[in-house]
Amino acid sequence: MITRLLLENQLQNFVLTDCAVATVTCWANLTYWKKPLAFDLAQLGMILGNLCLGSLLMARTFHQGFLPLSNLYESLLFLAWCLSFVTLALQSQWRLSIAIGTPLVMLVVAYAHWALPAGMQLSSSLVPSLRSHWLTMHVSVMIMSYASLMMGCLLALVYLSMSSHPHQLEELSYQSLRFGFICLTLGMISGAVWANEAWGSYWSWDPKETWALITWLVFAAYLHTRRIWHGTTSAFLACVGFVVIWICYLGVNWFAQGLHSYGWFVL
Amino acid sequence: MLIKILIKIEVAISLLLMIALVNVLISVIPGLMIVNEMLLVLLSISLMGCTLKVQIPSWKLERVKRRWGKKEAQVQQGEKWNEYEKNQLAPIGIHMSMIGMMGGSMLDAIGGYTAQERIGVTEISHIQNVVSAGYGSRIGQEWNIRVNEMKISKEGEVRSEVEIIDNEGKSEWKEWISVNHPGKYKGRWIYQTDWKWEGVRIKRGEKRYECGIRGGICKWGEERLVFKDLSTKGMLYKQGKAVKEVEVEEVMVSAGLQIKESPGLGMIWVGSGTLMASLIWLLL
Repeated sequence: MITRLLLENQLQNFVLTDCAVATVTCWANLTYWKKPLAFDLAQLGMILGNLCLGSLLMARTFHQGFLPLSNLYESLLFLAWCLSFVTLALQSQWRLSIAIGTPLVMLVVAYAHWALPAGMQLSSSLVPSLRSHWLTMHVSVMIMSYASLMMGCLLALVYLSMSSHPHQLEELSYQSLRFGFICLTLGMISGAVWANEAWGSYWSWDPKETWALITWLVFAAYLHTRRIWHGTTSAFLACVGFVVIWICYLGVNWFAQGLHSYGWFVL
Repeated sequence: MLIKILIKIEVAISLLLMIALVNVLISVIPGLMIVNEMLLVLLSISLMGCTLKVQIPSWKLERVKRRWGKKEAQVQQGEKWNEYEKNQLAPIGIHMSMIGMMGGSMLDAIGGYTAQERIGVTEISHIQNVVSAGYGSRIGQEWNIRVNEMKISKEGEVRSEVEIIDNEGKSEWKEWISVNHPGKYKGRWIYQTDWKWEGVRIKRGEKRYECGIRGGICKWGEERLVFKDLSTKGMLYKQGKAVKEVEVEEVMVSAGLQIKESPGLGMIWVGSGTLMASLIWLLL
């Protein structure tokens, strides 16, 4: 027990340092050095971080007997893993993706590591309504969609901030957002199926559900805007979407307690 | 006229964003649901109009294009020809599934109901306490629910055996239900929502008594019978002092059940399936 916690702590520290070094390398390289080698090094760092987060989650899975997705701490770590995964996938198409991905992973892990109360980092047994195979399906797909959408939105932001507005970057952002949108839809549908089994209703206008619907609508609007105002307008909408995702993931719990309050702590 | 405006893509986009905005407001101030419903009706008209007036004609044109070449198609539609969309069928699929899902939820709102009942173990009840019901729903009184037995595991999982009995007392169906495992019979869903410890039955001397329980304590004049957990053994206290352990004859518990019928459920699941399939076809 103690060794496992120590190991988790060490792994988190390593991921944090690793991501910090990779971020600094990338950004310094963008400003001063301007050599592609630095991005390869950062990519190596990201792969290491991904593996560390992966083994951390695996250790928890074996210890608990279910995928660690039942509270905020675990979902943040899973989000960090998903973000590093998406970054590595995008990296193969656009080298600079890593410069956006690493700081984001670092921030998410840092939040899980420092900002959450220590009691929440312990694993606990599941409440009856969460004991279902749908937990793995619903939460993992949902968090994967958050990660993919976040990266897509940040790419859109970079696209907007670059004066040349490179078409390729917009296309890449669209790819990531498309995948995120599919995952979001799948996550919402699986959530509805599960809610119908556990709560007696497939849709109950719970704050989290409402915000997931808002996210879905914003990105549905994005996909439509891309057909007529392809370019800056759609990228702008994607940036709005970034804020909406964060409200959906974390913000909702600040102002509304609902059925989805498992993944939160009372201050 | 309205349809002509609603099928414009600019209008559709602003409609989507408007619904998003209204939902933001709903999550802060409840009570705007009626606005939301009106907008959703507009959205479904827009979806339907777009599918019938834009997507299907453009798909037909695509077939013309395949047969006669691009130029002919361009001549047919003039300047409006949109080369951007490559997959013509998947967007139709997405819109149709959305319409199907909305139709399903409409059907639920009209013909479905939700009820909550608290039924003691071994007792029988009709559907009485209806929480919400559509004006077209019919809550049958020709059947009753009986809770036969209840088991509580050490991990806190509660399971009840529920039975549906007709008015002549004939059993139609019975099943063990628990949280995450509702019972389904003829379109009726029966959920275990919670349970409550109602009381105990004690035999003292020759007489039998029933005693209600609150917070694990059963008051009995000057005496208190305290239960640490749901068991048949309690400690008897007299004026604050533990006297002896008392065994009770029977523990009375009740099941909190939720009963619903939702006629649109099938339509919603089919819609979800086709939505997912066409989204993957279009976007992946």
